[in-house]
Amino acid sequence: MMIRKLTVQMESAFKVASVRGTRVFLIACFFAALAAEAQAQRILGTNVTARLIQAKEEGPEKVDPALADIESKLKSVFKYKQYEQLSNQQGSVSAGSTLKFRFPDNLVLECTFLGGAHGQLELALRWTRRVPKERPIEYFNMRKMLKQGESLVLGGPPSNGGVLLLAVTAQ
Amino acid sequence: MNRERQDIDRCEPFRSRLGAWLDRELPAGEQREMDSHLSACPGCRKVAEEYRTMAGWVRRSRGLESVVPPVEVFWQRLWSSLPERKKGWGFLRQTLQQWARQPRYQLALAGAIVLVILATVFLSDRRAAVEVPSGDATVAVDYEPMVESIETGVPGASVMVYHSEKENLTVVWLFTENTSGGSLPTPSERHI
Repeated sequence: MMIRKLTVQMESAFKVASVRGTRVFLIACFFAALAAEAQAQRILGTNVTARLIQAKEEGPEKVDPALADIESKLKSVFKYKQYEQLSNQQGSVSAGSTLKFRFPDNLVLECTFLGGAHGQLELALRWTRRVPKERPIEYFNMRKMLKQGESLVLGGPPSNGGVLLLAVTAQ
Repeated sequence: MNRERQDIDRCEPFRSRLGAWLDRELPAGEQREMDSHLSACPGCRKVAEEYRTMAGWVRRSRGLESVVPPVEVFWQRLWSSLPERKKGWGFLRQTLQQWARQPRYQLALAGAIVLVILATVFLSDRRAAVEVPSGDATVAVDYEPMVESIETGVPGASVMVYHSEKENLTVVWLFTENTSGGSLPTPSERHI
């Protein structure tokens, strides 16, 4: 008799739980919609452009026409007289994966897209120079949050009487 | 005594399903089978009446402190069904199919799936939210270029970071021993 009573009580409890379950389910659906909206704001992949530039202090003023779109930016920050684009490479990368750009003179840029949301992208960049039979020289190993349309210029390594600049943008 | 034992054995499978029968939650075939058994078995009919009466009491009182948690119902049902079914994959499949037919389990499963999705999305979004500086407050400061970490493997070198909000440009510069003297790269003096 006790077991039967217990069973009936259990049945009743199940009904209460079922009603509660329905409410929880509806609330969960509401939050799922919000989560879907948040998910829509996330950036799952990006196009990265990397341009290797050589800048020199000496000589007449001369800017490579290929750099016309970033000339004003470069001149607003640096006062070199000559800018020459040595290489221009592009690639698309998805969140969590790495893109490797190989430039002349054994220069390599590894670009890992760590993810992004709300118009900002997080990149991990590693710029190295491979030297035969030696350990590669690591110029930079960094993590940077890039806003939409923001340019990043890495520079400083000397080369052929000037310096190397590496302009990186992610769209 | 032997006759009584036989009756108990015969009725036990039906009695274990009385609750579900009262709630009309059995599949149509089983429901009909229960109907015909109850019409022929006074003992089970009496038990069913008692169930119905007590269910009414419980509905009226709804004293939750006396209610047993649903998980115990689950186990009781599972154990009561064990002698009737073969163990192994067939039993598992049969049990799952039986659960899948019941709306409450469907609802619970759907709710659990939604909750798992929500938890995954919110946790990953939270991670992004922590790492993404919240725009204006960070960007407004000129010397807050949002470089999270930076290091160089060039011996004796140092690194400088500059951010121009106006040009939407960040410069990361490597000063090496070779370039720190007369051949130092000369970014615009008004900026760097």
